[in-house]
Amino acid sequence: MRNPFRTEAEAFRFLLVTVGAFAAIAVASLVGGAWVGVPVWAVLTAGAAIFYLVQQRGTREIPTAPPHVGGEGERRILVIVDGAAADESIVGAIEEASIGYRKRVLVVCPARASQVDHWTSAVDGAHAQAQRYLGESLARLRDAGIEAQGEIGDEDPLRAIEDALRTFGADSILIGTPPEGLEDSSVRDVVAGARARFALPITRVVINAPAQATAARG
Amino acid sequence: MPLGEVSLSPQPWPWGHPRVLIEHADEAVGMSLAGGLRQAGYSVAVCPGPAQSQRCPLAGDQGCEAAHGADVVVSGLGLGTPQAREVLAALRSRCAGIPLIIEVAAEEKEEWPDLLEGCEVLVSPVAPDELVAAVQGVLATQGQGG
Repeated sequence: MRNPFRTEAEAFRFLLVTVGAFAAIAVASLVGGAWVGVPVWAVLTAGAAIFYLVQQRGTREIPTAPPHVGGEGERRILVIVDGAAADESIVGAIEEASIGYRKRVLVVCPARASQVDHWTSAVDGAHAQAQRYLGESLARLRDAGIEAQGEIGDEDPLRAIEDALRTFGADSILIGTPPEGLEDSSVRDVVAGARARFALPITRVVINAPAQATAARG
Repeated sequence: MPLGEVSLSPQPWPWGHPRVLIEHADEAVGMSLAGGLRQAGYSVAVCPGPAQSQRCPLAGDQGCEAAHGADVVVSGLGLGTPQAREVLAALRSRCAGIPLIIEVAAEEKEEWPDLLEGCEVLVSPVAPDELVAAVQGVLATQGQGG
């Protein structure tokens, strides 16, 4: 789903609408009494929800990409490791994507926090797990002779990719995921969403060693 | 608007200038052209054009943020269908200040001279290097003119 606050203009528009809605509720409450504000709030909320849904239906993602960063013979590869640590399959995909080029690699592990984690402010666990995946991934790449940078990304993997493209740039994106059956549907959504949003070669790489990552978590 | 005719509004550009919007029905070709432009320092967007049941937002009321925010628009949709010609007509009228590069088959170039007037015309198939040179050329010309 497209983030409705991707631009400053959208966020500012949301702020103005919110201020206007609260003003309308306050005026209704002052004029008609405290309980008059409740139906005004309900109507405004329903109106906002309908407006958002209609806008969603009419919005289309056009894949975009920033310019190449780095020298002419350099190939920048962004590796998103989602739900597991990188293994030999990622190493092979990096080598394949950089044939004939000098490679620079950035590994990003999204800190996946559930809605419940947010409600209970327990996002530290998601961050710690992403940190473990990142540490393992960088160690495995180093063992294979690949020097990579790494960082923890936004909990939304698509936002994490966009953030990385702003700072690192990338000529191709590898998305490492657990094998079919072990993944959840959100992982498939990430691959499809990335292909819809970014005009770059995007390869899904099935990571074959989720058991090791699971063991390392404990 | 008739049932089934959907007008879609693309998202704004998340990247800086210079920006090139590539409209190409063949996704692989569009991505290949985009790769060449990226290497040359351009932000890119790749639009496959309107599907059969859709209408290009440029031709509708909403407009297209991707086209309005571009510095150059490359259309490889051809001129063979009414939809493709509608897109080109909308680009010409609504994005009048944005240079247009049109990829057409040789016979289309002869058949639709009015539609192509004022556009940089490339005969397909266009190689990425050829497109980069054309983009650099139209931007240089625009810089001289304005």
